[in-house]
Amino acid sequence: MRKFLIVVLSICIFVLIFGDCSFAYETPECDYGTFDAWYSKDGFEWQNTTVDHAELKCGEPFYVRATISAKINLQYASIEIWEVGESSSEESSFEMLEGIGGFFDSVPFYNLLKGNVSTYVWKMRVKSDAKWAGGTAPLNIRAQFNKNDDEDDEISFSVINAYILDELWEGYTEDNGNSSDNNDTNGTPGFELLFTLIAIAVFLIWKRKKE
Amino acid sequence: MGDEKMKTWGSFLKDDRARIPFSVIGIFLILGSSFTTVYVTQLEMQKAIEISSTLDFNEIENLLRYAEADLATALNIAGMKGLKEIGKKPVIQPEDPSFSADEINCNRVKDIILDELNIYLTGNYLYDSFNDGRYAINVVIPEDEDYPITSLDNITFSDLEMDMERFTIPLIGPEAEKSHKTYWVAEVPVNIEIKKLDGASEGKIVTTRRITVSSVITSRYPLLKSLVDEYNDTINGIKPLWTFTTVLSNVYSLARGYKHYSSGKPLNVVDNKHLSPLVNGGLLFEGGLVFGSVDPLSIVEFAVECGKALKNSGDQPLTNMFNGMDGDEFIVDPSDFSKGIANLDAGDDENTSIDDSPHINISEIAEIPLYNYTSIILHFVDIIGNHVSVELVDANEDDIKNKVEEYINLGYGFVNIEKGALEQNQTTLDRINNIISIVYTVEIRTDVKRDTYPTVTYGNHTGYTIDNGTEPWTFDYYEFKDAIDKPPKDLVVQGCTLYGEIYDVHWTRQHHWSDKTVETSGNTTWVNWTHFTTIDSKIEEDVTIRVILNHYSEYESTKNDVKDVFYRNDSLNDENLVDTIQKYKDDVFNPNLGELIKTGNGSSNAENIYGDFYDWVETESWNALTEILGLIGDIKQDPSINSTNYPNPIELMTAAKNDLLAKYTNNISMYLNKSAYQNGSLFSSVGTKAVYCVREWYVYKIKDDIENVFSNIESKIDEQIENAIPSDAGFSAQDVKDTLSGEAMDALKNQFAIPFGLDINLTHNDDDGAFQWSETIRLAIDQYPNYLDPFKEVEFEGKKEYWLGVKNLCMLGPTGIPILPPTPVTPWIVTLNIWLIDVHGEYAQFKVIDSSDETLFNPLFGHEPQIYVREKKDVIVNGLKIGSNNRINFDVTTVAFGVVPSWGMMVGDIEGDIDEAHGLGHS
Repeated sequence: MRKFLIVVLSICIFVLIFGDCSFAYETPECDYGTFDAWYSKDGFEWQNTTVDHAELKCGEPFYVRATISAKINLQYASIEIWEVGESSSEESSFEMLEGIGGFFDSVPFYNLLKGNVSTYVWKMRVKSDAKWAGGTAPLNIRAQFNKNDDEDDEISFSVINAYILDELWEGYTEDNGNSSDNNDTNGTPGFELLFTLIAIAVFLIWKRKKE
Repeated sequence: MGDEKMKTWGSFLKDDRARIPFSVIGIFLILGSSFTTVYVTQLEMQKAIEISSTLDFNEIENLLRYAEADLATALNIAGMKGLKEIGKKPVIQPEDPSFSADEINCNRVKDIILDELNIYLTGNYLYDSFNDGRYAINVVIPEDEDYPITSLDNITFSDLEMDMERFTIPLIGPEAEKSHKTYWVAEVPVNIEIKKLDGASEGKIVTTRRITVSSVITSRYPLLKSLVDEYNDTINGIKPLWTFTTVLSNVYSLARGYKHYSSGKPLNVVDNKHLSPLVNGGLLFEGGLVFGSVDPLSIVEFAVECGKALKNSGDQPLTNMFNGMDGDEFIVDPSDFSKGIANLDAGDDENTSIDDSPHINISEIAEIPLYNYTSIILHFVDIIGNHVSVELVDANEDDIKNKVEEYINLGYGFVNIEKGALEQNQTTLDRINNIISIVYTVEIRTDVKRDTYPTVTYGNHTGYTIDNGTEPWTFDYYEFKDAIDKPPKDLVVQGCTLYGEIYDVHWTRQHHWSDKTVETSGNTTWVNWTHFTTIDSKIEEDVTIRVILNHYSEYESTKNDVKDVFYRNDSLNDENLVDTIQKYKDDVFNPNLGELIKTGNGSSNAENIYGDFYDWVETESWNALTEILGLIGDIKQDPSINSTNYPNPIELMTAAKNDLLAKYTNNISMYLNKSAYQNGSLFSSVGTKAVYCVREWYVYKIKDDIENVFSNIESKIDEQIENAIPSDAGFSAQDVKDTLSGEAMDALKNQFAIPFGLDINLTHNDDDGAFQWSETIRLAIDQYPNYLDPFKEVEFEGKKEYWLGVKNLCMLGPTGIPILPPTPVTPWIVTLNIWLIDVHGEYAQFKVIDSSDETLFNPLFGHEPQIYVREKKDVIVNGLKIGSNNRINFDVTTVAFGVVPSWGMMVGDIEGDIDEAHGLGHS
């Protein structure tokens, strides 16, 4: 009985610690820091990047979340989001509705201390008259880490390779759209597995007791 | 008197009151010579001093020259260091928009120069360090300052331009000769003092000077930047890369369109996965021409990717690819982009020839007046291979497009489209009838000729001699005398009498006479009148009433040209208008005869009379037209009029039209075949003439129709092209057409070479010719990624990075549109489709390396070349973001065409989801 309980408990702890992790998944990092980003259509269900085929309609909003951390004291860091092949937000098929900025013009952070971790969320939208409707439009994100003026490193990747459908999103309005609550900055941990195992364990114990 | 004079003179001579002793004179002489000696010695000394001052002056100047040269070298090195720095991290987008990027970069260099030069000056030009033993040069540090150069404003730059010559190709490459800012010339004023180190004036400041230290900074950073800006310019907007892409994508789409039409494959004419090698080829080509160099790894990857995408060769060994390398260029054969890939996608050998002529058949135009298609049949095949046909009745082009899309979305494959049910064109039948009626028309009139001198007989009025006048003549009666028949066969001509009648017409009138008798009786006289009325008579003899022929069978400009007209032709079963005479008699002559006899005079009653004709006339007319149609179908368009020789679709149509029209015009007499309808110079019969007139109408109508149809085709194609191009695309239909007709097409369509390792010549021509020199430079390029692909990723710790965005819209539906739409009045001659192609992308890093430059010293490697890097990076100076560098990106939007013969498979993208674009899964 005891052994059995220990086994069950071990499984639960194991799942608790590692349940939310994908073994194959690594947070991108360089010598000076780490940087990762996620994509969501609603601000709640987040997908790991890079999302290879993100179908979006014209005028449809989506969310980007990024976490940056410093491994050493940094003189400077920055984050930038941009559409591949375009030079400015005016020409882009995307627009930034909410967030700290950084669309085609990096957001600077000065004097980050070692261990500093920050998370930011942007609400983006495909423009209603997106130039690239009917085609693919990759959206990239980049973090730069400066130890000093001359020593720097970067982490850069595509958030999504969007395929923009040539039709207007049903919920589109000309203002910035509904600002929904999406303050959830952490992913939902995989508690389902944990509770399933607990339920099985309880049932087995009960059954055994009954016998 | 004389004696006294003598006396005076003698005493004068003996007077020695003024006598100075010789010794005293001697003393004065000695003193005088001593003074003179001293004076002369002093003069000599002065002279000597003077000479020694001149020597000092030269020495000082020399020292100054050395100092200036030394400082110029230091300035150059400091400048090179500065340019090295900004070459690695140029600011392209300033953080503070009140400064331009150039200003910020200049100031960064000035800052470095300031620091370096100040260190150098204070290290080498203070405390008499710089000296030649006799003089020292020290830099002057202003009061309250720590360093001699106090402000960035003290440093000025000016540009040194050089004329560049390089290999290029017009229209698809950059300019061959261009002036570029190649070097900067830096100038810094420095205050120095010259101190004497020895001699009597030791420590004395001999002079202070303000010298301007000036040096060409021997780093070609400005040129590298200028060339990169030029490259950026050629790959954006309507510039060489656009021209290149337009040419090659049309070479691609036209060949594949014909292959699709002729064999049903490739299923998609324009496939995204082929756009990537096309654009990469263009970027390398443009880069090769701008810089005279490309990244060698890019060529390798381009060749490998071309092999995969175009030849389906997989990861083939590189040895095959190197067959394309030739000396200092990589040769690309555009037929790989067109014929090669079209054949491979269709499952044929890559060298299979593709017939890319539209083979326009003008019988399509000639058929329109004769037949209408009441239906069109679309053929599809399902996944298993079962054949399905769909008949569309009275379909327009949208109906065709929608039906094809519907079946493709259901999973069927489109096979082809063909003509359905035909019916005779009623309008033409009516026209035939109308022409025949006109030919069978006669204009006839009536002429009456009266007796000019009729015989008048007075009634007997014996005894009555006084004429009291007459009443008007009144008609009495007429007598038919004779009839006139139509002339013999050969004499029935305009103005002849077809029929006539001759009458004597009798008239009477009352004539009043009287007689007077006079009786006298005495003085009375009586006058007795007696009256008498008698009847006069008049006879008009030979009053002739004729039925006159005005003209017959008048059609267009011909009339009166039938043999034996008005005589029935039994062998041809043709009334030949003989019935019109009777018709005229019945309808006009007889009803008016009485009046004509009595009072008619001159011409009247001109009427058109329609003759009868038999069915054979209409039947033969129709058969004649179908015969001509058959002959027109024999006209073959010159096969050299094809998309290879005429990639501009408008020019293609014009060339085809001219060819076909010339052949048609040559055959007109054959189509008319007039001699078959004539007997000598006249038509065999009225019916025969009618048939000929129908032929003539048709033949010239078709000639006009050919002109009109092609004119319509050209404007329709123009209209479709204009509609396909977005308003903000930056180019017009004319730009596209000009490109396809121009030199660029000629330069690229057979083969083109990506150059690498070409020298660039620079020449400086100073205005006064004083400083003229030439240099030959060779640049190296390092870019990342080496190959831009939308569908492959570059791994970065589990992430991917995409480099290309691609859009490829098939604008006119999965099948293209018929030009012109098959309606009762317009023929379908060719099928057209247009693809709107959009590609944009960027390089993560683009580095230009000046490998033939002056030495930038590197303590580890000895020599570090000047580079110019473009990448996304924030530029931080003293911990502050002053601006950012950004990536080289490009954007090309263009259109490509597919033009194929009418009917059949048509031309378009028919595989999978009609919403074409991301190309995933397209084979």
